[in-house]
Amino acid sequence: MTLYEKSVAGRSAFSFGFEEDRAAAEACVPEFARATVKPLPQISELDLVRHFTNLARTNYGVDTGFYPLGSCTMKYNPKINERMAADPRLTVRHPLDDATDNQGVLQMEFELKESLQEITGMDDFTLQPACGAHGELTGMLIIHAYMRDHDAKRTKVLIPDSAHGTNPASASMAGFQVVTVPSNERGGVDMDALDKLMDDTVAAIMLTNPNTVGLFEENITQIAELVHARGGLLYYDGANLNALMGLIRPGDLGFDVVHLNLHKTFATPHGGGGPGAAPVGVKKFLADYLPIPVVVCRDGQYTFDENRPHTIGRMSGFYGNTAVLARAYVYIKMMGRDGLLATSRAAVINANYVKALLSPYFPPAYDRPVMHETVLSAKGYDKYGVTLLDISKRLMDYGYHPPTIYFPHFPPYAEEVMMVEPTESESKETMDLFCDALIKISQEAKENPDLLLSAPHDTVVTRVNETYAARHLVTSHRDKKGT
Amino acid sequence: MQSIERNRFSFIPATGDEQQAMLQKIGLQFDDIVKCFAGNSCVEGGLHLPDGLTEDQMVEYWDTMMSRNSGPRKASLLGAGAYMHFIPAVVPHLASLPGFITAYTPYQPEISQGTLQSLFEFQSFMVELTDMELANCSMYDGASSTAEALLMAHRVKKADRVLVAATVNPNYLATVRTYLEPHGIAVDVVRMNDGGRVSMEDLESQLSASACSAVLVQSPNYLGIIEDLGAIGTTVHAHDALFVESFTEAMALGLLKYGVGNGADIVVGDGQSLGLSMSFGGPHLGVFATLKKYNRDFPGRIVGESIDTKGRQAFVMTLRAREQDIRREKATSNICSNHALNALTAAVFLGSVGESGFRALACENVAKLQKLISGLEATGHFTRVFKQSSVFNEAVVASSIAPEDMRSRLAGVPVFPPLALARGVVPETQGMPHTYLVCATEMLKDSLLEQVLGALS
Amino acid sequence: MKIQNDARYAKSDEWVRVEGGVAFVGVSDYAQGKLGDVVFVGDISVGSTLKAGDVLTSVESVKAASDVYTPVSGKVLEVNHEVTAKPELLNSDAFGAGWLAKIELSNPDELNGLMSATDYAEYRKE
Repeated sequence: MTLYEKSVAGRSAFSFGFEEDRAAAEACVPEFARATVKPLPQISELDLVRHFTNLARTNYGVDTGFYPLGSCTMKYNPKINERMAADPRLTVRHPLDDATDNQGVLQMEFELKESLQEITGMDDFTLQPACGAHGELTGMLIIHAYMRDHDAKRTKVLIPDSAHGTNPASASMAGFQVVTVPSNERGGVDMDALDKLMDDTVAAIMLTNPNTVGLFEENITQIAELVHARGGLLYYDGANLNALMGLIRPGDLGFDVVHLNLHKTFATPHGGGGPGAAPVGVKKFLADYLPIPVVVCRDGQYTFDENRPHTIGRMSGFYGNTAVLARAYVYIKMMGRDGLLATSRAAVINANYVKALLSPYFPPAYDRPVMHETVLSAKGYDKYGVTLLDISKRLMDYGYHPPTIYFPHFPPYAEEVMMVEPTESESKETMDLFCDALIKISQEAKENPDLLLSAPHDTVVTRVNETYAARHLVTSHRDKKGT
Repeated sequence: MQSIERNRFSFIPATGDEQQAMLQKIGLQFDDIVKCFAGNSCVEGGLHLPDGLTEDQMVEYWDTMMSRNSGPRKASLLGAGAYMHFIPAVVPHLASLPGFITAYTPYQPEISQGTLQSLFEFQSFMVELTDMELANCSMYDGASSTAEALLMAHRVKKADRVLVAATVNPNYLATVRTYLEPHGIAVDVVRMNDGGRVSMEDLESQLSASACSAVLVQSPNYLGIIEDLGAIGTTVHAHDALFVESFTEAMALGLLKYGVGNGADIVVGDGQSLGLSMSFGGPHLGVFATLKKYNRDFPGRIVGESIDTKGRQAFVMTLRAREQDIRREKATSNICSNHALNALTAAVFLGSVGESGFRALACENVAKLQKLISGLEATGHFTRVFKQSSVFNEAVVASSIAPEDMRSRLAGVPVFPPLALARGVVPETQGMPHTYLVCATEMLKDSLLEQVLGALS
Repeated sequence: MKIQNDARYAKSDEWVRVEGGVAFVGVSDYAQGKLGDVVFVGDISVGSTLKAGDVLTSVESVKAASDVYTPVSGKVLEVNHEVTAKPELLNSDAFGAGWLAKIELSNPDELNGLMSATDYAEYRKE
């Protein structure tokens, strides 16, 4: 039941020291007040608490259990981060207040920026973008503006077929024409195809490395040389940086622009779909293109630099998701140099371990060691009449969140693949139990496929009908009432 | 690679022995796995970062750093896109339940009903408050949401030109320009009239000049003034453009008229005032509402009500074919992660204050600003600019007090000082060369107001 | 997979069937099967003139979206409003009640460039 369905006229959880004086307020705005009062539910405070507490209980989160959602890096979100981000000295700061009154927040942002520069090997950063796709758009707008100033005929962007959908969408939103680069038989970029496509109309190539199937791009040096030699730039989608910290840096690999997903690699909570934060780093020659303002330190004073002559402008109203940045900052401070390295090392070992346990039942497409995640196939199970979707739903009965399924789309991954990313947060026992569950489900598929077809059984709702939702659109309480 | 000391990092459970056992099962050493880096420069000698801090060290470090901020502040005379409102205790409590914050995008509806239903409730509230037919489950903030609205209008109408009121928040305008620039869409500014509102003459003449995909107007506008949205809507529709209404102060939704009644095609704005702290700029909450006829054109995610296999009420993401993971470069936007948790927070806030509370809050904001202005005018150092135009909780005042003086006078009062406007933004007032955008919310208690007025007298 | 014998087919899985100089256009049963439950069929403007290969409309299922291209050139004479109102017709009867538009052929020779039912069956053999 929704809050509207629980509403009782006259109830309220409102407790402020004033009463509504509508007549006086309307007298101040005579011609513009609402003619009718729009209804909101009327709920007592305890009812409200029970409503949302019970809703939260129907949700599966990292704090509930293993959440191996590939490419999303569902690692543990340290609680200390939450405490720091809730500090009123951070939350009660107005973004337009004078920099001299906000030296603490600005120091935090500046130190975060410096850490990210070191981790990625980039020269400057903006902390403004709100999440991965926003970071991609920021980065691609920087490239667009740079090319407009230097080589305006470069209107295309190359994107591997393994890329996440946000890459082509962001490139297109930044005004580029998207050209897809096929993958080779080892899961990397097809170099012959790249050689043919990389001409003087191409502004950049967007790469995720390790890519969405968890493989490090073996030919990255050759790709970087080829693209740079022909006048293009390299964009690094940092969605999967969790595999590389302290091992190798995108800046050293030749990337010109990177974005990072702080809600993935740097342990800020995913919030049921956001907010995240996605700082964008650039090499020196692009630093003047960063969105304004940029946090800088001058003579020991932290301040905002608005003087970026070629700036792309602004990506949002203020300076980025500061409360999210704070969480990532705390995480990086606590992990330190060795901790970040240990993180990537553990993430890589865990992914390969899960791959080793599951390969006999769900074969990987390539017999190569993976980085932070592994893509496994459930194609063989169609002969029992079950699909990967059924297997995933059955995993819920065992108490797990399913991996990312039906992605990526390129051959030989076209169908029935799951992308498993355990992250460094998980213990060996957790992964053992998860793999046991999947192996058991693979047995069930043979012996009792109905168990999978009707799964999940133990959740608050059974399978939800997406077709029904799309054909009978109800997206608000008002639609339900039919008014 | 040296082996990792046991239990040195509390967020990584694996011990050195366990990792050895796992590597044995894998059949490789760690160095074999990272052989794929071959030929590339690895980080030699480790990153140049300090050693990690323990939790207690972290708290101390943080404390020292944050004590460099001035404060604390009990109210804000500073608005301009971020507002200091009261946040009931129940709001952060419920919005930070681990089931909500440690989940991700509800791709698996059977174990995500909590997120999905909360977002559906948020959408319902936004539909009511904006008086539109359909609201998505969040964008990043008001500025980016406004920019996306204009991109959507361009997809629908295809004319490479939009009109933006000069009275729109300058950071919103800058964001709009950034988003539209690569598409070659001209952003033309509609002049302000003597009342601090959109000039209807200029609007009419610019609309007549050449085809336009959309007209963007903000209300209350950057100067705090309530625009005549109904009249603007009529003019815009006479010229076959989409009418985009924007707001920076969601509290105004409790009193002012938005949406279909004004002829709006899209209503966008910032929901930070709905239970979210300012947090030095974010995360805020982008609101995006439109009409059903545009249900294939709008950006962002949306939740729909459906049924499960047993016919029970269940929620699920719907209208997905617009999105980047399905339509890639042809998607209506690249947005993927959004500000879902903040939408949920807004739903809790609105559920908490309820119908009467939200209206009362909106009215109280109007009353507080009136009190502040009359108090300021009584000091003799201030006079309101655009006196004839209605305002919500922000207004422009001219003053004889210079910004540096203003800051030092208010230094002992626990409020954020008001925004000093640059010269030329509003017409000059004789004898009062400085102008400020002042804001008052329910947080400006009478005793605090007295302190403010005392400091400025 | 159902195949309609008196229709001709495009590689992008549209069919065209001519009745008295007027072409009925739709998507094949194979294509609807690949799409899954169709939930939306986009508007088609009556009176517009299209070239073969132009986008006629788009169709959506819950997991995919796909443009539909007209296999023949000509003017759109009529649109099947029943299928826009009830997109499930595309799943249940792709060749019959699920037709999308009637087009006045401006170049009937184009039909020869399309596949016959037999060729299409071979082309889409699983």
